Amino acid sequence: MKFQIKMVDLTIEIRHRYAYIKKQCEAWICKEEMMRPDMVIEVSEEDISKEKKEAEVSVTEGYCESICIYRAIARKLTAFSAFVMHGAVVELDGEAYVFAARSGVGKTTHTKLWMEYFKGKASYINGDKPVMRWRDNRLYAYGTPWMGKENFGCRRCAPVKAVCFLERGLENKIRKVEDSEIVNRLFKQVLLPVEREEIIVFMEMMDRMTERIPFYLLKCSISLEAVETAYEAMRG
Amino acid sequence: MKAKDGFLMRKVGERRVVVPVGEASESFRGMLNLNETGAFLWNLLSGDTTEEEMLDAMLAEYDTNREEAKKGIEKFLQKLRETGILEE
Repeated sequence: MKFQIKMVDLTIEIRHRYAYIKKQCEAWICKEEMMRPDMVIEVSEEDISKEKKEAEVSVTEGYCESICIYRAIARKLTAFSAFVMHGAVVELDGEAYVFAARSGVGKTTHTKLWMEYFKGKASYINGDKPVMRWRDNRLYAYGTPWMGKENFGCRRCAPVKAVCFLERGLENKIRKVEDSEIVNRLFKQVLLPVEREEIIVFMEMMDRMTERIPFYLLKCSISLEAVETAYEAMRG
Repeated sequence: MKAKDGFLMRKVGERRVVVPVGEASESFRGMLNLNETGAFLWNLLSGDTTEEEMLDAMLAEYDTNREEAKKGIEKFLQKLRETGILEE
């Protein structure tokens, strides 16, 4: 079975075995299929069962196929000056505010507070695994059908305003982070390519991102005040 | 001693980041985040060298004294040993 989706301004053909992925991508499916999609993705039964074995909780084959498919897409994105980043992206006033944290720190909790604070003005581009793509010398955050368990996201994109790493804290404090710390924190949120040529392109993207995008570290409580602290710094 | 094959160093901001390529990525996950001196020392290790040679090279390149340079090199090599990138 196969279908084509449009995401990140790319046409991607997905060849699949299970129904799960098609349902997940429903809103992204192209009505008219292209002869030459930008990429064709197919994962093997072996990849799927390997994924299932390594899962910490019980998951279906369909779910595992979806995870494998996204990983395969991620690996091919390098050729399009794009990469997958683990994080939550909030759109506000046409710009993307990116939040990244270790699992369980509370990027969903924090970004939900943005929705509350900027009611009607802020929305999710993607709550879990957005794609970042360089276009015309600007970095854009794109929505994708992979939106995490909360399913927060849409088919929009916006230029990245700033990236904020989150940590839990008693007080709300934000500070700028510089190169060495950016590298240590950013590389935990991305998937490194394996092949030499791809690594070279990927590292150029990381370099540009480090030089052009402001990065912050927010230590915060679960409060609307934390949103104010983050917004005041990140809006620049 | 020398650095194991299969690693690539690239510039990211003001840092130099060393990552595994191809097969090396199966045994080494992650990266090294180096400053300029670290990058200089890494380049020396692309061929077979000794601690003594590294020290001489560093003293020729940088405005530093023998003791400081020696300490720096030892710290750097320690980092490489911990991550298993060094061949001795």
